[in-house]
Amino acid sequence: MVLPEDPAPEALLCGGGRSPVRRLTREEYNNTVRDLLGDTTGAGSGFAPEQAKDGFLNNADVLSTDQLLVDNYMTGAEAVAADALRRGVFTLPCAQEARNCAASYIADFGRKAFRRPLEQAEVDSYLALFEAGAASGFETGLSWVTERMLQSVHFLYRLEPLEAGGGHGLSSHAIATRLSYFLWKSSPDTLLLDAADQGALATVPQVEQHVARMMQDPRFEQMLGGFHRNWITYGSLGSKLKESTPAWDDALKADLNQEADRFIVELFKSGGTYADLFTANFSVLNPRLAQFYGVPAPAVDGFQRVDNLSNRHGVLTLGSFLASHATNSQSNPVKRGVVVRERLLCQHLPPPPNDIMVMAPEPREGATTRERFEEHSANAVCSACHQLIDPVGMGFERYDEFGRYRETDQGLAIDDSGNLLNVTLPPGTPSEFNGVAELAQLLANSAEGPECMTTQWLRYTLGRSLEDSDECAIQALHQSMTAANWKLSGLVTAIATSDLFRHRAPEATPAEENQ
Amino acid sequence: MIHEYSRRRFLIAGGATALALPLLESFGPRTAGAQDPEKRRLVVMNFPNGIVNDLWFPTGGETDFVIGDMLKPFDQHRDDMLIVRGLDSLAARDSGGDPHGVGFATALNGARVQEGDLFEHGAAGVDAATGWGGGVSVDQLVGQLNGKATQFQSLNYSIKNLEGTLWSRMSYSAPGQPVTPEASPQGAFDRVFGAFLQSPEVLAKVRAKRRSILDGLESEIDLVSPRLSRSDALRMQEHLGAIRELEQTVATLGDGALSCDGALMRPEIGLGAQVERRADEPANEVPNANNDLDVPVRHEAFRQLMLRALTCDLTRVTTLMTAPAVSNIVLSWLSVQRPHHELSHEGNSGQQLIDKTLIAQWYNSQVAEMLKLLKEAKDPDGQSLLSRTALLYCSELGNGASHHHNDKPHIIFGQAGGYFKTGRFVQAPEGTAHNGLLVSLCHAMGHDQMGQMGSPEYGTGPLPGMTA
Repeated sequence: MVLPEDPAPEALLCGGGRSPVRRLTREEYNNTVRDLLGDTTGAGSGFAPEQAKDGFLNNADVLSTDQLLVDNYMTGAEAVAADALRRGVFTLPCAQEARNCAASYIADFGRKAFRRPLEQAEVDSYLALFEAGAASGFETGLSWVTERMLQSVHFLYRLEPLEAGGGHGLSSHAIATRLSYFLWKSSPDTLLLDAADQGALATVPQVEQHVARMMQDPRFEQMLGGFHRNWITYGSLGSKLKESTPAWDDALKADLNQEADRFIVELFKSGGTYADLFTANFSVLNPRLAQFYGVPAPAVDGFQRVDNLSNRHGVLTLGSFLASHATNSQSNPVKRGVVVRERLLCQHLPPPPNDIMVMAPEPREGATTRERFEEHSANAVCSACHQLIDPVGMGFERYDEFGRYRETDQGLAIDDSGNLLNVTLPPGTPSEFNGVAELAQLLANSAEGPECMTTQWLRYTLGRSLEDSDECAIQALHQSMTAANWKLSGLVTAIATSDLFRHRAPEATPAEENQ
Repeated sequence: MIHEYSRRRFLIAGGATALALPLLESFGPRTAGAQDPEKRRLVVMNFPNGIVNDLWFPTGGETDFVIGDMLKPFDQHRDDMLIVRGLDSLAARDSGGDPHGVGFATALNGARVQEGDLFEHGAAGVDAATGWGGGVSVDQLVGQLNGKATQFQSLNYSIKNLEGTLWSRMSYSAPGQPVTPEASPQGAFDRVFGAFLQSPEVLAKVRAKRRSILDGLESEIDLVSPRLSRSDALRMQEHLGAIRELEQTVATLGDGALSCDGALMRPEIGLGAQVERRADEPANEVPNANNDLDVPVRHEAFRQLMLRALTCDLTRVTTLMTAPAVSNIVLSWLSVQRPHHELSHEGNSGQQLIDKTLIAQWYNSQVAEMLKLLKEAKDPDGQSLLSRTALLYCSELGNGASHHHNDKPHIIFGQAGGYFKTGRFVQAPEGTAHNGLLVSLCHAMGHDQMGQMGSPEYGTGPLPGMTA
């Protein structure tokens, strides 16, 4: 195959980004073998868990590979290939002799698995393996080929080999791969691979066209749910001491998590903005959830969008979010304050110093949560940090440990006033607030909030930690997003078409370094 | 398809969820022990969240020490234990970062944690973030040195399936390279004993296929590496190293069955579906008592796997992470409803003391159960496994409530072939680094030239007063 020549290099405003090699996560592995072979066994789920950083599981900077993982890859590939063999995936209608037929499979499947055309030497190497396996039959030969491809570093890692002489270019196949693992968490489809073969992913309009197409795919919705779970940190629904009121069972927890995912998707599809993320007063509920929240049930069974809900303020009032940030016995304003600071404002807080007894005050009659927590925060050593945390978390006090709205706490009136210190607000805006509704407005109007969202998207999309050299590209994104009113789907497109995403910082091979 | 190979008299357990393991009784390697009478084993287990020092450590003298409530489960193993008090993790003290995390990452290597911004829970603020642990841990080092004789250099297990962080990895194969422990008993069984269930013909085919595939994978890495950046090429070398280690396992696939000939299989452990195929959990996340209910059965399963792998001489090094650092496991089967870490920061009276004691006793009883099995199991020459074993039991912290890295708990069980003089309670001089004890373990495992673990700034040579 003759590849078209690369177009003349673009002039970059900010330069490309650092680009460490990315390994497929277990989620990406499962999605990829599903899309390549129709595998639905979830073979990757049993693999060794990824290393975690900043709440995400795809950060290349913390990657580490050991024998357990390559053993997992081996037995995983064997299981996936065995399942494909059973389903007749390797039963090819061969019009030609077996060897040629196998060569076609190797080139075709290899292109999908390695996300680029195979070199002839690679085809030959896999043909030799096919012939060894074919001693036990044609299909077994193809099964061996498939097993090896699924263990190959060209499959397991997203390798972006450097062009001789450095430069910031990425091959069109690398761009196709970046797009598909950004938007779908899976391998490029035929349209993307064809576009890459034709070199038709080099310009911004070409990329935009594919992004628009890919955002209509269910795989995009899955990605949205996955990203927001990691960013906003909902979905960690632990046990509660008062399990019976309400029936805090697996079915309810699953519904709460679904509600959150569906809310996010609905927000994207309806053109929602960053502000809507915190102020939208709709949700997507089924009858069980409507009963749980004490709101009128949707007219039909299943999940339905329900508008004009009182006490609803976007992600901040999702049950899955509120219950994830509570203890098993109470609402816990400290946890809720910390998550707003760390995840939504990207402000890092030091943990309590050593030699301090850290404990949440237990619920007791005759005292509200606020009263009990204010006692512990009165300590001078603690208050330096807790003045940033507790007054934010107190704003959530009308929501109990399950995430339900409440009017009283231990039978006493609730004071949910708070203060969002150390955040840049529009001139003249007081940082004091009452309740989640006003807190949500402050977040929506803050300078740090939208910037934090960009940071979190970039961590997830680039699969690495951010650093000073990314600042130029981040500022450029912010300018264009501010002009576009921070429409959520617009941010996805803006990232996909950014210099940071479509280019890489020049790097040298070890041999070039030594010259 | 699983082939039952009847000559070895394996009885495969009925029922899809039962995990069949070789029967302990009538168990015994045929030849291996006789060839290497000196073979020594290292086992490591941890106690999470640190201790209440004065209630944990014994009172009294070196040999007439008196065990308190917390260590009660070790009463029956008194003659096989060497309790060391007064050891500090100076490496943790000098590492900055989160005290639980750096305490965990230094416990088995004595090396200062790597600098970096990977793990940002710095105790003194953002600048105190750290990278991964900074040295090879004693279990991995011994595995690398002694493991060529066995199918697995080491077998590393974890009760919980956790994402990799500073708080959830205690072994390191090299500086900055954490070892991921296997958290599925079924997966662990398949990996170590699965081949025992295959006929020699099938095994030969599997080996041949895997070898040619692994060969191909290695040459792919060699070909692509020169076209990558230096750091990416290093990742590829790490992957290549892991494949080479896997090759050792594949080459001897099923061989252990020969040395375990005469073993029986029985449905020893009925592992219900609830302990399998579970999703991983973020380290240090929301406590979930329901998710923790299977912790006891997992202990039992991994204990049996570790014991049998040691008895069959498939490995001589094995570790069990009973919990991550900052463990919030809820031990509700003891009627303790509060998460462990929360409790570790509370007072030492009333219900809180009762709960803390129950938790310590429970973890200690798990170790005691392992000791009992190691004592009962015999090498072919009739010696108990425990007599050739050192089991190191330690924690990420000293005093858990105040996050101290001094006066950390360390207990060695077993004599490791006569190296350790057990039946004693030894107090090291104040400020003694725990590195010396790690060196002692290397000496006990046959490497008496080993001069240091971690950094020499924390001393050289073994800890005085440990040997027989």
